[in-house]
Amino acid sequence: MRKKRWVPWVLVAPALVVVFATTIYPLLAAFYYSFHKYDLRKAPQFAIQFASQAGDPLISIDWSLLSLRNYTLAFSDSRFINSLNVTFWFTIISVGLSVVIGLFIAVIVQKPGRLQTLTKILLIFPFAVSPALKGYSWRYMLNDQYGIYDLLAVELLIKPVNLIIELLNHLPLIDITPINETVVWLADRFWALFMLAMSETWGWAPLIALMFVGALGSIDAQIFEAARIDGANRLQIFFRVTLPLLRPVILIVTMLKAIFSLKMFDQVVTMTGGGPVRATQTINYYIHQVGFVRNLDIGYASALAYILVVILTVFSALYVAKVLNRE
Amino acid sequence: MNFARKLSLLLSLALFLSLPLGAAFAQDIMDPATFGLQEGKPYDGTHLDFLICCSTAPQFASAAVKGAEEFTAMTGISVTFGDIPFGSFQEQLYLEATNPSTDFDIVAFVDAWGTNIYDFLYPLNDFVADAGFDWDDYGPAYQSASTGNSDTIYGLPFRGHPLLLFYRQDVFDAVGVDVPTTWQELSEVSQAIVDSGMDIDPIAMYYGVNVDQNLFNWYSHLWGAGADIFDDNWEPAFNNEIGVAATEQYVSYVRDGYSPEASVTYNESEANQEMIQGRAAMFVGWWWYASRVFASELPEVADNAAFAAAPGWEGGSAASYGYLWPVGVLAQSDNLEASLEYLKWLLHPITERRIVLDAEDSALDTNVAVRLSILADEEVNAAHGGLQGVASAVLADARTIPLIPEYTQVIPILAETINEISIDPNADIQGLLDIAAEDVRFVMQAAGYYDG
Repeated sequence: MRKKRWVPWVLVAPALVVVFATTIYPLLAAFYYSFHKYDLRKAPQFAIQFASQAGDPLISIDWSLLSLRNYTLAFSDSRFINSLNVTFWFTIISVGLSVVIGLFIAVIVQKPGRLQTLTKILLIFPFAVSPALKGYSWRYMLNDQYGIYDLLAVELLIKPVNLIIELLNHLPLIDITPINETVVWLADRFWALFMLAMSETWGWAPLIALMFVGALGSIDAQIFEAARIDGANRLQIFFRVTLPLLRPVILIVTMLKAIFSLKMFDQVVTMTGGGPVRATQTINYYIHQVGFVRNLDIGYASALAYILVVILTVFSALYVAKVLNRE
Repeated sequence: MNFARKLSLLLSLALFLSLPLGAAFAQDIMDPATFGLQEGKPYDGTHLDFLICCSTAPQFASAAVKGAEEFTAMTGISVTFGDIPFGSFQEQLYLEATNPSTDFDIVAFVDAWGTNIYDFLYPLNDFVADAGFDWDDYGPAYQSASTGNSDTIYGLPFRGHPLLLFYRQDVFDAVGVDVPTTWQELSEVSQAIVDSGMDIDPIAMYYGVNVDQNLFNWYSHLWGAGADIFDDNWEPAFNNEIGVAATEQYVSYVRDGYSPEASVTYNESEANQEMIQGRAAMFVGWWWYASRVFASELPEVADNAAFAAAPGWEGGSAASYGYLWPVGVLAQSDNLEASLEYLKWLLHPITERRIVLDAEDSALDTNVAVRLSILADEEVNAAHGGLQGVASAVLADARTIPLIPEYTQVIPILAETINEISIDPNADIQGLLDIAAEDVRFVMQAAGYYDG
């Protein structure tokens, strides 16, 4: 029977059209805009002009309209530099916490049992919560008047520590200042960024835990048995056997989470508004401000977005390479 | 004939006699001529899309709901309100206004945001003249905000807000203080509340950087003291000696412990919640918050809340920000005529009065009016405890912010600086305002405001 070569193309055509319209075209358009002065309020003047009359060349290019101005401007823009810095630290904190806490949860729930099964099912819920809602919830939960997280932090952490400090201060030559019990989490540059990362960790750590549970389940039980016979205790088994065997999965999860952290936007809007001052203005948040709220400078916003695309591409390439290598 | 029977007969008679009156009134608001609408439903079947914010806020929801059915019955024009949350409204406004094929016909916008879409709005000067709109029925601040201080009317006042001081009368009585009329008196009253040992914060301010609301009361301090954002040559002027003094006073409420420490993260709504939930004795915010304050679930708040004009500056003025949402028609609308027809009805004094007087549904009860005639209306004032009269007095001194497109770039610089000053009790106010002034100057320079 003769194979019809066009059939596969027809079958994938709808998907290709959707991908082109929602991903390829915006990417190409933004790349093109990033070399132009494109103010949303004014009629744009683009370099490529299509022929309007018969006899004209199909496409003409006015090179004078193309410029690297937006890219050069980016690296002298202190606000953009700030957003790079914020995004870097946000990524470090959120990825670190998500992976460590995820691993911790996975080790706890990996053993078979009814409670563990129920826990595994419940674990997916935080990830299902919308990021914007997560931001609002965390903002209220950190409120110093009625926030549950603020209450927990004060009652379970700060007060016990202050009690110890008070006892220590009875000793001669010791005079330690107690910790302020009214911490305004979102007013402090470090804590605001940390709590923003925690809100992200709250959603991601359980999902990562489920990934680790799968990876842990795939490790041959005989390896652990052999380690135990050789006299290794639980900690030694975890650090010398489990962790090395999980290393490829940890790397993949880390890169995947880093890609998502670099794109942080929703919670910044609903939880901190970029503050205090500019302490939580991530790259995506700043791009949004430049393009759609403050400057309406689509050309510059596109250039900033492409700088982010480059960073994301590096991480994505590493991620894909790692996944393919693993397979 | 017993008393009950007599009474029921009298009531029946009264009801019978009132029917024609009711019918006349109903006929009034159902008559297109009342609103200057065109007879014969020339736009029958036309559908309008109105880009507007915040369906949960009574001031918008009431305008969307009250009387809309009557308008459709009179004209055949139906209107859909594109309800967008406040947090994402600004970007949606810009995207729709600059989109040549947008579905939206009518837009409501914050005065400061409107400057970026003036080129996309249909000028309403002829409409105002032809429709017999009484332009002088709007205060100077609202007129400025509707025109961008030019001769072109880009939008008409729709929802407008003066700043009011909300306070707890019971706390003031217990402490033995009078309502402060200046910011300096407000500090004295706050200190008296602190000294009394009452378990309540004297005031809930909002210095958070979130949606730039920390500038609202700063403007009042700045203008009241006699400073301004820019001088006549568009050079930053907020960092002069008076500006520093005004900013010092503005952040003193949190620095001196009168406003909660967390108020450095609050937005306006969160500060308002402090009062509604009984934790703060004072709050200075837009007058539409009145309905929330008086609807507090805490009787001690609901029964004792009172209002007064926002304080002014001692020895200075009571100038404050008159915050306006004008409503305009997008120039690219395919339904221009029908949109103008809708504005005739929506912005008519009868409609405005009706909206503000209708308190049947508490979820839609609003005190917001923009016309001077409605603000002075005795019945309206009686229905709202004299709120409109106080608002009118505030608006007499109110002004608007610089209405230039670049101001949306200036706002975050100012808001972040005020936030930074409020967070750090030892912040160098002069130094930080100077840095902000340099940043603002950079924006203005890039936009071509200065020679060379």
